[in-house]
Parts: sequence; C-alpha cells; structure tokens
Amino acid sequence: MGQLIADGILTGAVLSLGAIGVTLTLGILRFANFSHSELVTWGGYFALTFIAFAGTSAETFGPLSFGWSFVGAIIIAGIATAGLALLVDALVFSRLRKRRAAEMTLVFASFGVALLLRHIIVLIFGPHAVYYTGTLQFAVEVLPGVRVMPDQILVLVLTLLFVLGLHLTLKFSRLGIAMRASAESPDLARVHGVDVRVVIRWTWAIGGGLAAAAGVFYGLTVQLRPEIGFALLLPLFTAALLGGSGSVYGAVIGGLIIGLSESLSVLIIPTGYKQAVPFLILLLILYLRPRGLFGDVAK
Amino acid sequence: MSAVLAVDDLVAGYVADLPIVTGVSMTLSPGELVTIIGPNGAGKSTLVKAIAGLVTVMGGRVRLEGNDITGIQTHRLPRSGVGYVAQSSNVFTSLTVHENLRVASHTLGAERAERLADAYEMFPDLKRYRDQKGRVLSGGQRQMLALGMALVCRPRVILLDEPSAGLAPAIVQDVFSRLRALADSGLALLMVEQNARAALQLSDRGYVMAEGAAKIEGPANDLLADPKVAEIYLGTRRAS
Repeated sequence: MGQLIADGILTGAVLSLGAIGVTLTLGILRFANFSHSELVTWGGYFALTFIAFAGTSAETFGPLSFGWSFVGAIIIAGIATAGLALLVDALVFSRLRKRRAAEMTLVFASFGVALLLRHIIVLIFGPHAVYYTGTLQFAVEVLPGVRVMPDQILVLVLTLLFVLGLHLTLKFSRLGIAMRASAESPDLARVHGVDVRVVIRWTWAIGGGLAAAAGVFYGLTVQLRPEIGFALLLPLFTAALLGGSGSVYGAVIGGLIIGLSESLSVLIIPTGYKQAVPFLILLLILYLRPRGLFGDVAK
Repeated sequence: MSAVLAVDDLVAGYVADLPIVTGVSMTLSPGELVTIIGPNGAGKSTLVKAIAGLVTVMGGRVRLEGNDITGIQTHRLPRSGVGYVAQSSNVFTSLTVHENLRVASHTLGAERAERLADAYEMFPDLKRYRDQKGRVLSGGQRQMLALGMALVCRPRVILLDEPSAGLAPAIVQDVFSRLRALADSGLALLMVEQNARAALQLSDRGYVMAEGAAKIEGPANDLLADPKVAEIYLGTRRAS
C-alpha cells in the first residue's frame, strides 16, 4: 500500500508537469492542444540527444544515476522543447488564430501536429525503448516497506521547485499577472498595453519547458519510448480538466490524483486495466463537475 | 483650441464590405467632454472601438495630436496617450483590485509605484478593496476601478463606452461628475451614452449618430434644446 502511494505520487508529479502546459493552453489560448503530450516525448529525446553528444559523466552525484552532463541535458531539453513549441505555434496555430479559425479547427490541427511530432521521433530514434544510463540503481527504504530510487526523490523535489516557481511567477511577476489577465479577457488586456502575442509566446515556452522536464523525468524513472506522448495524452487532459481549465494548482492536484488512483487501482482491478482509470475519472468529472475542482465559475 | 483627437471620414466594421461606421468626422479638444448619442445600432460603440484599434478600420484617418494612429495596435494605446474604458467587463474579475491596476500599469517602468499610489489617492474606495477580487466589487466600484485603470498611464484622451450602463441613477451622477472634473482638469473625454439627457447636461458638445454617420453636431445645450433631437433621441416628446 505505502509502496503504491509512493509510486502514484511519482507518476502524479510527472503528470502534473505535463498537465500544467495543457491547462495553460486551455486557459490562455482557449483550445485543447492534443499535441502537448508529444512535447513531453520530445523533451525526453532532446535530453537523450544531448547526452549522446556530451557523453555521460563518469562521476555521478552521490547515490544518483547521473552527473553533470545530465543537468546540462535537462536545461537544453527545456530550452529546445520551448523552442519547438514556439516553432509549431508559428507554423500552425498562430496562422489559424490570425484567420480567426474556430476552436475545433485548432483542436484538429493539434491532432495532426501530434501525429507528425510522434512519427518524426520514430523516424529518428526508432521504435525501441531506450534509457539514459545503464547504471543500476538500488532503491532505498525511506519508510518501512516503501522503497524509492534516489533519482525518484530528486524528480519529486525538482517538480516541487518548478511548480513553486511557476506559482510565484503567476502570482507576482509582471508577466504572470499579464498572463492571468489575458486568460480572462485578451481584449481588455490589450487595451491596457499588454501585447497578448508576447504573452502567448511565453505560455508556449513555459508549457514546453515543463513538458520537457516531465519527459526527462519519465525517461529517468521509467524509460523513453516514442509513444510516451500518446500514453500520457488522456491522463494529462484528465488531470487538467479535473483541476479546472486554466488553474495551475488544479493541474498539479489533478496530476497527483490521477497518478495515485492509477497506482492504487491495482488493489481492486487487474493491472492490465490500469490505463482505463484516467478515462473513468474523466467521465466522472464531465458528469459531476465539468468545470473541475478549481475551475473559474465565470468561465 | 487645437484638437487633440481628430477623426476624419472614418469607415469601420467587423466584416469586410459591411461597414457599420460609414464615414464619421469629429474632433475633440483638451478639456472637453464630448458625448455621442444616438439610437441602438447607430454605430456609436463601433466608432470608439475603431478609434481604439479593436475594430477594423476600412477607410479614413484618426489623428492624435497630429500623429496618425489609424488602426493602431490596441496594446499601443496607453503609450500613445489614449485610455479606453469598455462598456461592461472593463475590469478583470479574477484579479484583485491591485492586480487590475498592475495590469493597467503594464507599460510603465520606474514610475509605476507612484502612479498606483496616485490612483489610490484619487479613488480611496479602491484602497479599501485593494486585495479583493474584481468580481466582488459593486457596479459603481467597478466603474471607478475601470476609470482608475485608464488614468494610470496619464492619458490625454479617454474614450468611454457607455460608462453609465447598468448603474443605479445615484451612482451614474457620481461617475458623470468625476468625468466632468477630469475634463475640467484638462483631459479630453469622448463618451458614448444611452443615458443621453444626463450625459449631455454635463457635456460641452455632442454628436448625434444614426445609421453609421454623425448627423447632428453642436454644443450640448443646443442639442438638449433641439426639438428634433429631443423627439428622436432623448426619448421625450415636447408638449406642443
């Protein structure tokens, strides 16, 4: 039981990072971006590419499975994935916005982008699962009966830091307040001097950067596969909708709930059905509380 | 006095080839409060939105102190010296009063803190509700916040789209007298109003719009006394 909860929290942390991007696009760009979870995959593979070129450091940090080159990999993956998100926006979504395309058009376009992004990964890296390092790690017993890898603890700490950083940015910074203002009313924000195009670019960059972190963490604690994005699609959306579209804290709580319920579900249903749990939760949210836990009443 | 804002034969609308404003010319001088009245669908709101760059301009020119600002990108309004107060939804309901004012000071640099302090001084009510969300404010408080937000960047012109909409009569008088005071301090205000009589009584001049064009123009008192205006647009029939 304790072990399942620990595993669930870990999965939940990765889901949270991905779901934040989904909820930001829902809140500020106002469409469901089905290609967001592919950014998670790309983030993981960007880091892999960096490590392939930079080599794995011989020296690792204490009990962790990696060293300095991995730190570089996370930073580069974040920047590259943010860049990819901006590129996709410039090539696809911003053009549709300029034509004042309907929301559904953007959603369908995002499906196309998702397919394209996924298959480029397969073309370049092949369909097989890969790992960042061959280092074997031994789990440490943190609580009686609960064993976690040192890497997993680091992932949790970093996730917490990213979420906290984003929270402070949204709450206090000029950009963060402009983002929240643009989410509520782009026209009113413009009238007061906010260049909404800049806000949108930052939204992509932040969403992309956090997706990359999710991808790297997934690759570090599970494995890298081209279908990560596809596998995470439903859990990410469920987490974002459960939290309430546009709510960052909601996305984090949503991610944790999905992670925990997936993990704990094996107590009552066969493991093979684990992936159906987010779908079930999604149905329940849409039926019982369509605006999510922390959704804005006004929207 | 030379005009701070000059609108010259402006044509504007939402859909190409279907202009709602079909050639309007008007001027606004410093210290003037000018009201645009007219029946529903006359294009009053579309006109001020077009000046603010919120609606596509299809022809004509808008000049601010001689500079061409026709079809300006809306986010450049505050820097160019124009404040705009929308009809409804003119404050961010999900943001606190203070955050609203911070959005309004988005383009300011070091002078921001001082300007925000000025806004609180001008509207002491806002200070009391500083950390309250916009959605809990009353209609009158919202309008004061909207006005405070428009003033933060020290504009020379303020455009107002029906500032009295949805307000109780006592509050309307309060808002209007604030606007009058702002004009007296040297600002130029152009407002669209349904509440024609009350607005004209405080205004220097007025325009009567119909079918996308300015049909009648003159000093506010003349418009109030004009039987034709009274009959059609002020909603009162004179006893003959």
